[in-house]
Amino acid sequence: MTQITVFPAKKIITMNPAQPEATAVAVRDGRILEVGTLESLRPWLEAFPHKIDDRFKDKFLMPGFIDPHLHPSMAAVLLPMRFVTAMEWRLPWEIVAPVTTPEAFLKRVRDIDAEMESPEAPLFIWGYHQLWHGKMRRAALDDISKTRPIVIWHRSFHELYMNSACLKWAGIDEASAGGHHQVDIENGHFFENGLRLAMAKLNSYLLSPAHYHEGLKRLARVAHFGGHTTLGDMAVGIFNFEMEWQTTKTFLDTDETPFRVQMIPASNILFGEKGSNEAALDFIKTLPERNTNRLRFYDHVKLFTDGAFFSQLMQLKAPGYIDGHHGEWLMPPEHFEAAARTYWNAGYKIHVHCTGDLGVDLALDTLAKLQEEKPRFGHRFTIEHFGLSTPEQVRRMKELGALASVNIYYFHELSGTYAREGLGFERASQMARVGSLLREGVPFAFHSDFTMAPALPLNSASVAATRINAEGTLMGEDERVPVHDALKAITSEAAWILGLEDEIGSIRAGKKADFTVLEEDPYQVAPESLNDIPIWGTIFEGTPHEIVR
Amino acid sequence: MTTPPPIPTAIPVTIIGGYLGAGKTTLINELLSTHDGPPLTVLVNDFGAINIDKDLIAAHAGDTLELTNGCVCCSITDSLTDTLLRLTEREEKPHHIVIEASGAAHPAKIALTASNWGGLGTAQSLVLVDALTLTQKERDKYVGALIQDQIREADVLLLTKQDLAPEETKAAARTRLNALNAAALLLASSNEARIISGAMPTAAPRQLEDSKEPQLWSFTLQGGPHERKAFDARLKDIAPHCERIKGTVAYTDGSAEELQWAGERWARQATRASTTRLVFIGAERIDLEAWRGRF
Repeated sequence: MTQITVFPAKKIITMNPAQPEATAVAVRDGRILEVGTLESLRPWLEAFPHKIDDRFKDKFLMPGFIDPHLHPSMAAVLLPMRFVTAMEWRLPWEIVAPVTTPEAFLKRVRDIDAEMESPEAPLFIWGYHQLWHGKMRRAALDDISKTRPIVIWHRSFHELYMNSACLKWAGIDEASAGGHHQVDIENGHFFENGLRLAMAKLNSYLLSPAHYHEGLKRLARVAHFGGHTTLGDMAVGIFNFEMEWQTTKTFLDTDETPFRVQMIPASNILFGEKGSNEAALDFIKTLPERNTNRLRFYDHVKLFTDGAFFSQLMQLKAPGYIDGHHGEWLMPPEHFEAAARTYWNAGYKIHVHCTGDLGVDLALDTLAKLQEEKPRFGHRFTIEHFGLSTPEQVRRMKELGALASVNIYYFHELSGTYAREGLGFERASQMARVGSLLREGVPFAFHSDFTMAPALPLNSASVAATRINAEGTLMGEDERVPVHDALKAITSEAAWILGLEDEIGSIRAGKKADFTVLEEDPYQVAPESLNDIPIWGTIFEGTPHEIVR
Repeated sequence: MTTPPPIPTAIPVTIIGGYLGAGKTTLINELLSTHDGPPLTVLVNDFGAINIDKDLIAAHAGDTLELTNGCVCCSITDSLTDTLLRLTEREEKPHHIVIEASGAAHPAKIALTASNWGGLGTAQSLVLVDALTLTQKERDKYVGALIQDQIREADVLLLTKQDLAPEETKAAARTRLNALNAAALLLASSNEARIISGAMPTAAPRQLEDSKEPQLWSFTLQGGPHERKAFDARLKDIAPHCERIKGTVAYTDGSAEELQWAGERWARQATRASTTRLVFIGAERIDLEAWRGRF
């Protein structure tokens, strides 16, 4: 029998309300035998061989953090790029210092170009924003290099600029793209649908094994860096189902990977590939046969209602957008309902991407209808993102048994802008209303939707507990939640939403030995400083993994 | 004008839009089965809904269907841009691309994606509206605004299921369409829609078997603003060759007009617009590209 390992710690924050704190935990074969004190563990230690690993005796153990909704594939495309951003980005391999003037931006690009060995290797920069970095021009990029393809990607992902070498490399010229409404060839500028055209040309590079594999390896480091031990890939198949599965298996299903990934298929994409909801369901039913210890498909599926929050394409109830434009449905409501019915009747747990309050209405009206047709307990129907909603919808979620997985970073990055443009102060200040969820008793988790927000759970918790946005403004103070509830949203509640509450999310006998190791006590720092707590690393299924800087 | 028109330099693009149940698939099935002329490349969302007489199918491989009349039908598997890119980068260019928009799509957005690059012309959008359900759909909490947007963004509108609708329902629907988008051309029949969707300059105007209508061509002029005097002169030149002209013209002096040409008569009235969108439909064989070039 394997030896027992005991980890004493300054404090173990269990997130188990029946025993909130402890000072030692015994682990064997990746599972927790008991959490308590060295004294209370004695029956185990007297019965079996054991060792005391006391390297964490001055540190704080929490249940391993869980991000129930991010997109490894999208991260794999972005992460090999160099970040030049107006805000600080903490990455495992560098702390990206803020660059806030046009001159400094171009200088940074020039410096990166100079550091690179081959003069022809393409350079992708992410993080440009005109508010800080001024107007971008192809000529300015040509000044930096006439031989190296350079792409400057906008922070929003919705536009990019290329230099002349890049246009040539991508095979784009005046004749092939010049007339497009959303392409300005003169400045090498591609936006919105024009970006799709540029992407179609760049994808052979961005999705090439060399780039994509590097990206996936970096994603593993990013996830570890944030203190995660479980991720939810909340739309397997975004680019290509089998390619994503194969590469994820090759690069993440290894002993070095300190986390597991719950694989949740994007039903709309499989509908397109298989031709019907029923055929997609039949395929999804076979997926668990592929499971490994770290990568697991199960009875969860992803559906979509309305458009992107960052693009103001969410569907709104009255009074709508200030400028009168309308949001988008990602699929006709009838098709959404038909897909939801298929998976509901088959007993699946449905996660619905909803960004606006009309999107939430559609999801809840559909849920009510399905409950009427075929009542289900424990269905875990989850509203994903939860950008805009009303207090009454929250009450209705409680009534219908729906849960929320919240992108709290929407509030952080967009509440200031949306108060001025599009929504007005009242609604902007109440986006991602987690205080209401708490008041009504609706279980909620936080996610990053990485790459939409940094994959830093303590950052999400800090935003939820303070409601201080990127501009430093406190907005919607009555939608704040106490630190303890914010920490539940990245541990026990996230486990509940992923349907893994029996395995992870708290520290108690029988669960997986997944811990996040902190240098400070999150209950003893100010809520706005939660994200400044140094993370030593994680313990995944009993094995410590230190973050290497 | 007796010389045959040259092969157009820009590939015409027609978008067939409208909400679920408006009849897009029916129209596309008819179009594919009855088309006669330079072959169409038809891009559809749901390949399974395409229902063509077996005798007309020349080949069926994966998500592509080749018909005996030369038309090709394929599904939009990944993104529309990627599909269009594959088509336009082929050595043998498509003659005319017809795109079936998703029921949830905004036609104007699809038009932005599918216009003026890679050899594509300016897309023309034909939006289908179910005469029987318009009133009810407009009131729908979820899709009311979408259906109104679809109607507003159309170059050409077709009211479907008119054969099933009482006269007053049809009249009310027509009034509603006119109120939402007076500038769009409202077609009289699905025959016209079929013709417009497949409209290309052809060797000679021909009769459709089941119709007294001649073979039509059509194009949409977009952009502007235009210099008023010069534009007026060109309009006067082309009008006698057209059956109908309808839409909005924006002028360089900041004014704009809503124009309609039908039955050899003009109806014009001042309006507000910053860009031109004008649909031309004709039966007479003319050198379309040359005409288009003059605007």
